[in-house]
Amino acid sequence: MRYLAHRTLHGALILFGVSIITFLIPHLTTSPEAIAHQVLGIRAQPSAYKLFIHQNYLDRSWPQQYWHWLWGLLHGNLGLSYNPNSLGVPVKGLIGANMWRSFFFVVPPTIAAVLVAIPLGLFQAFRRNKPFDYAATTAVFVLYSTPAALLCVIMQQYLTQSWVPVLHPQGTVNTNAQEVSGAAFPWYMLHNFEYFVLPMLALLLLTVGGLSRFMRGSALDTLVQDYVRTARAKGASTSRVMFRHVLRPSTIPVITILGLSVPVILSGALIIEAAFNFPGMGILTVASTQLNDIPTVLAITLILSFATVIGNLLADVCMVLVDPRIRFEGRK
Amino acid sequence: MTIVQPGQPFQGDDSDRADYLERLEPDAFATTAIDSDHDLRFGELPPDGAPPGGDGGNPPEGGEVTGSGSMIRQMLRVFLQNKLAVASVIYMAIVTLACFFGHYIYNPNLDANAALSGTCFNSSAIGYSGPSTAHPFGCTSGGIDELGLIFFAGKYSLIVGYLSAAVTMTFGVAYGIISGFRGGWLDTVLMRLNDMFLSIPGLYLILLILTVIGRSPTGLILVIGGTGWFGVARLMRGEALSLRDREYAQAVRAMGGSGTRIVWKHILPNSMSTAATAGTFALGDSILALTALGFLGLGLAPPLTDWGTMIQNGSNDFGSGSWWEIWPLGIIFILFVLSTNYIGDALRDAFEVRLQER
Repeated sequence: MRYLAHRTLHGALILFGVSIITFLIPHLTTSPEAIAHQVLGIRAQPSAYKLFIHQNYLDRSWPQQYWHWLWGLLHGNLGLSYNPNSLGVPVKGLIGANMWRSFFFVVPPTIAAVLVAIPLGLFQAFRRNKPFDYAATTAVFVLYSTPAALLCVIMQQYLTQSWVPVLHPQGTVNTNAQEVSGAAFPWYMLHNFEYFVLPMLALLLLTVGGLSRFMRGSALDTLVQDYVRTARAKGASTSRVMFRHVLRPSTIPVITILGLSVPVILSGALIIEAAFNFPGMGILTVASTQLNDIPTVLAITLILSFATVIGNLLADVCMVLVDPRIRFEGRK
Repeated sequence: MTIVQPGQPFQGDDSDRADYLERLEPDAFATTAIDSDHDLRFGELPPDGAPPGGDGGNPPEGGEVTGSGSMIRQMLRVFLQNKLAVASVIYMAIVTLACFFGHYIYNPNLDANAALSGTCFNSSAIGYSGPSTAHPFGCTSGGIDELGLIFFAGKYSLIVGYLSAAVTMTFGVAYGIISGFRGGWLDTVLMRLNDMFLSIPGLYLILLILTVIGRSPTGLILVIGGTGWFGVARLMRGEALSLRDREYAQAVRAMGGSGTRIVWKHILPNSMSTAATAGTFALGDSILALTALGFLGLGLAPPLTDWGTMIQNGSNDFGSGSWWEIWPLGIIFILFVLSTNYIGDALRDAFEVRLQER
């Protein structure tokens, strides 16, 4: 438990640092005037620039600005949008339901990917250098080298309703989806799964591509351990060796990798959201970037870093559950 | 590091198992590419300061010489034995040369204004030409020759890709080696900072920077390169950490050599193997990042273009049947990234020459 407490503290420290870094990146690289020009356009009155700069705290020193922003964050206020179409609207309202929709979009394929990647890697390791292993390794390697965008475009083109009748002919997510809010969204996804099969499958494939090679490698490492040889020597069946002796220890590195790949999965989800027009954080970020809406992108980046830290923490918890040694050793 | 990559699985059978176990020992990995002429298993000191090329260092004296020729030659031999990696190098060279110099041989007019008077539009159902003798890869819906556009966009995609990878490696190697070599509180601070950067999803970090920076080639190189080095830094730090306490580094210190000398003469040359491998993967990653940006409409601003923007534009026409806007480019692209991954794997094996030569 001390180990987990230590990791939690570490996570909190990381988050605090991330908030400083992400805040400084846009605020130190441009001047308040440049931001005001970008947001209000070049034809606005000079007084409007001044008002905008003052209202958004841009005329203070950066520690003051940061403190103001952090104080707001701690009180659930994510700042005001710079988007010309929704100028001054609280970012919290803009992000709102998008966050939960993205959450429900990312989590199921990630769990499914682990459930696919672990047996896949295990079987590959047991059939090492056999046709199955070669085919799977090649497929995973190609998948790993395919840009998410291209994968989505190809899936949209070829996995159509005529091939897979459960799909919706539209190919992208229903526009009604953006009116469904947080808690109701899982039910909405279940009832309209014909829209969500493809984007979730795309995320599943990308994540499997990243994970199964590690599972294969880690299972290969485990296979040459002495206790596996002993188990085989005493006549344990292949399936018993596979599930009793190899599965658990080789899962440990995969859990670490999964924790570390949360940022990669989120980046991949961004592109899939854009390709399938899924109303989530990804699309909002892209739109906000194009409109120089710094507060919105800042808030989203911070939320997703938070998700990453939580993901790493969950991976640590899983490690403790899978690997009993960690409970006693802890880490300095 | 104890993970066997899919490109180069453990080859051989039970007879090689002991050999394979040896590979898995942490020490075997730590001593990777230190000196191929000496077998560290028997506790021999490697010659002081022999850089990988063998130039300038002491000639190897004593010990078992397990292979012939210089280390570079040995590594080259192992690398050349890997047919797939050699094919990947050739493929990457061809694509790079074609993108940079292809327009000397095949030079259609890519100007959007000239498109109207060009031969791309025809009376077919979708209104523009597919693959034909005049346009080997067909045309885009805007009336621009696809092959010419692949060369043009490829030139800028590759420029951004190669230079971003260079930026990534420069930052990552410097940061990691300083952190690992200095150690102490500086190491703690730098690595905590690195943890923070690693917790920010890469693409989101790039988008955050792009809210304030323009989409010029230089801007994108700095953004992609500047956000890609965190993993490399961590890798290089581990490498520096394991190299700085080796006997030869201690010997330099004992003889009064400065820290700078140890870094330049010993740590840097000896960690080049890890760096080269990481650099190859960095190239693939930065090209993938640029493609993602292009697809999101945030790639190189017009009149320049990149492969991601082409995929975005092609995806709009794909549904009406113009497969030639996606497939040729897609295959060229996937093979290119695949090549970087294969070469990275092969390099890693080649640098483990000492382990393979047994």
